[in-house]
Amino acid sequence: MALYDELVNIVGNKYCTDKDYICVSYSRGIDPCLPEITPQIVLRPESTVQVAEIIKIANKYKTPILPRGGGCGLMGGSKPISEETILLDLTRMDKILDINEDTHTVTVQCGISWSRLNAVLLDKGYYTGNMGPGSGLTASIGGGLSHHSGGGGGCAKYGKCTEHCVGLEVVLGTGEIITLGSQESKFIENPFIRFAFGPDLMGIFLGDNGIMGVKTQATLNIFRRPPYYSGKTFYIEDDSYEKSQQIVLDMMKLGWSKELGIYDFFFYPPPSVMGITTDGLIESWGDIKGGVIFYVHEAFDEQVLERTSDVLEGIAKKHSTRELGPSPEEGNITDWFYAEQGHWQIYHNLFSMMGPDYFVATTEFIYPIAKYPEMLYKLDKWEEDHHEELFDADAESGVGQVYMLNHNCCYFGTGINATSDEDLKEDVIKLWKEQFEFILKEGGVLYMCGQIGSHVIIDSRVYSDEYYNFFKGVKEVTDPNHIISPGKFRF
Amino acid sequence: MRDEMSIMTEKLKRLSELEERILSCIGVGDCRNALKGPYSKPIIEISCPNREHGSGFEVHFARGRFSLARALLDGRIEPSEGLAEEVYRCTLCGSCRYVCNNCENPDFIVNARENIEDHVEIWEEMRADLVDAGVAPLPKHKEIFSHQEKEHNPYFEKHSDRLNWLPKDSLFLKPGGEYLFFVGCTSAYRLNDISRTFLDIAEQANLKISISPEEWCCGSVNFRTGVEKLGKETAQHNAETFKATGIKKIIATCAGCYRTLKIDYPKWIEDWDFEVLHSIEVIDESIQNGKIKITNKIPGIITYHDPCHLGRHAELYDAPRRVIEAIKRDEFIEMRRNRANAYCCGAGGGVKSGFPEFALEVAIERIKEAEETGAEWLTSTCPFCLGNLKDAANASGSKIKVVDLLELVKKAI
Repeated sequence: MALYDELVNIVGNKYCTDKDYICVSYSRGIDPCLPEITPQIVLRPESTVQVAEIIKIANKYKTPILPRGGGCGLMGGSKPISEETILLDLTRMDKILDINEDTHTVTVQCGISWSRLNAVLLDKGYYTGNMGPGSGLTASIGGGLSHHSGGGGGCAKYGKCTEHCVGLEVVLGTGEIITLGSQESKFIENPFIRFAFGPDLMGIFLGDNGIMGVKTQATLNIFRRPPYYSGKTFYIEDDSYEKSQQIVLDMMKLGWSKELGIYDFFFYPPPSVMGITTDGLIESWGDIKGGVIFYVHEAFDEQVLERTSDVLEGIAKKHSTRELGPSPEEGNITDWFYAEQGHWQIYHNLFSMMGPDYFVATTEFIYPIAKYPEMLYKLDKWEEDHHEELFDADAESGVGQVYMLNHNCCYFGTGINATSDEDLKEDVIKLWKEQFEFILKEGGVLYMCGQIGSHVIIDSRVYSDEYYNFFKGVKEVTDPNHIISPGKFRF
Repeated sequence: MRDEMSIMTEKLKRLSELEERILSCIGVGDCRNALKGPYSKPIIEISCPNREHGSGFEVHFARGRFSLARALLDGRIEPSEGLAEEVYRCTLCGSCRYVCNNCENPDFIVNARENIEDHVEIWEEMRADLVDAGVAPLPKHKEIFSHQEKEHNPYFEKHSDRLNWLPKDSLFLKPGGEYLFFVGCTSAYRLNDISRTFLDIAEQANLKISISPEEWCCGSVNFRTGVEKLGKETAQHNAETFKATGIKKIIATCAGCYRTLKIDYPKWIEDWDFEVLHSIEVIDESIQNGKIKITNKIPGIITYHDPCHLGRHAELYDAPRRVIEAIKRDEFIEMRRNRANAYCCGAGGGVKSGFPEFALEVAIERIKEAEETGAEWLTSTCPFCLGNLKDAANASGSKIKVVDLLELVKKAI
């Protein structure tokens, strides 16, 4: 029996296809300039057992498998690297299996989107805290857990989305199924803690960029959503890199999310603000030239919210030029962000507003809050040093936003904006790689690596030889025939 | 590759002209399942019927279809009948357009959909290119159009039977009315109670109505399925018929006819100069100005299904709701997905004829959503939606009463 027929036997005709006009729609993620490659077969399994059987067949035929969740990867992670790939569209595995209000956990199949899960949780007064990747609406739980993602809301309070994973079911590259966390024990039915029974082997699969196994089921902590919130937006005319950092540090001194309920904190550097004002995207910001910060904080008690609002406002006013707001019409972005639609799309909408003429080659990374102004200056310098190459590639470099992650790190939403010109794509990809390398060598941490980022990590020899050998060794154990996502990290 | 591309571009001339808009989709995928609303009241929108009720591959919702369009333009794939079948499974409900990366706040302008403009137009143009390429429409559609060319309706009926529901000596067949009632095929051949009901109400409101026996199918079925030539011929005939009556205002009870006359005809007919109204707008106005008196309010909970052609396509949301408010005795309860968020009934875009089982499955989902409101009455303003919803209510054993809003109005006056 041929490969295709064996796969049809597992998922049925309806959910298995090799038709070019269906497979071609899986040839890209959101990344706009990496080569589009069409998988040979696309499958939509509905269960862990089906995934395991598919992987066994892929081993038999030595054919690579690419797991794909919401298809929102920005660095080539959710599209095939080679044409013989069998692509697993995991979005059919979208069931909520258990909302456990005793253990404050939810167990889901990993193909469900963060937004769909949170819609159900919010109806019950809960949320996942970190609301998922900046892709927000459609990104899957599996994708978020594969990339330490954030940006969909709640990072300042809840950190990366992987931080609240307490149970995980994975199909290894051999087709074996394992469960991790407290369910490493056969005697525990409901997962409730990640760190259990010795070493934290779940960590091997979190942030793995989909190379160590296929995540099929996950248990996440859930949190009661505080009923009260408030948020402010402030403009900082001069020295906004330092002043925005000072605002964050002063807020941290007084307790950050634990005491002040900070849920999200974003800083838009001056070039990003200029982009917004030049295009008139937020009319009420007028032609301000500096940086902008906005924060959202929550509380279970209205009086507590009022008190913390005063404290936060006092700090922000001390270091800023003026408030933009308080209403959305007056430029306060926070109501839109938290109470309307923005929290679902704060990041990717910035790409889409560029329209067909531009694309973004993102180099987003994690960096210590203590040093983010320095890094902003270094990236400005990088842009200056690469002025000619950027000009020739009809591109520009910049930081869209810096948003706080927990109490000591921040995400940099940085990258290269380029004109959509087929003839210049190679030049842009070269600059993209160069900026990655620069960031890595300046101590930036890539969390979403995909194809391009993982290659730069290896090609720039970011890992020590000892670590890379160890990493390879672990991959050999979980996926000895390199069936899953081959090519990433040069495996 | 370049040569291949230019040949393909020539073949797919409409898509080529829309390339900028097609490239504006960056692939975020809100169209798969968008979340709308704030933390306090989130609504997950299972917005695309095709995606939810098909095999669910990417090509079955907007993001994947944009990828498909790009691949066609790049010459990476060729038009084929199999490809056409996937493209024709879409009901053209336009929900993808509405949920597309959209910030929903007029103070913040960050929308991909502004660049894409109108998804439905792109899907229709894609179909028209596939027709030109000789791989579309679907065999069932071809059968329908072959009949339509002779008898001017898609229901395999005779044109001469179009007004059989009306007495031969009806006053409405006399010229000189202020409004021309465009009956439409569904209300003429299948659900003609709706036409009779409208005329009864119009009489009470003292509206001067004429009907032309020369009316043909509006052509919606042709425009939706990319068969432009027949659509244009039909539009041309109807426009000439309208001109001959000397009447300037046209009323349709069907949301599909309304959309076609109001939005499509002006594109194809050079000197189009008619005011097109949906019957519910006219009834609404007559209730507001007192020409129609409500005397028997309707008991039982009422819910309302927004037809895609009336709602998202023409943004007519308030008039039917005002009418329901005026006639209800008990409650009017909205379905979870309503107005611009409304879920499609599953019949549009040639799906009812091309994929009847799929159309029925979608409608059953909508019936269940209506039942969740506790409503006794599921009402709407499109006979084509009603037909499919009635089929679904029967198939699912639902007790909900599926009626045109006009029928409730008639009961109330």
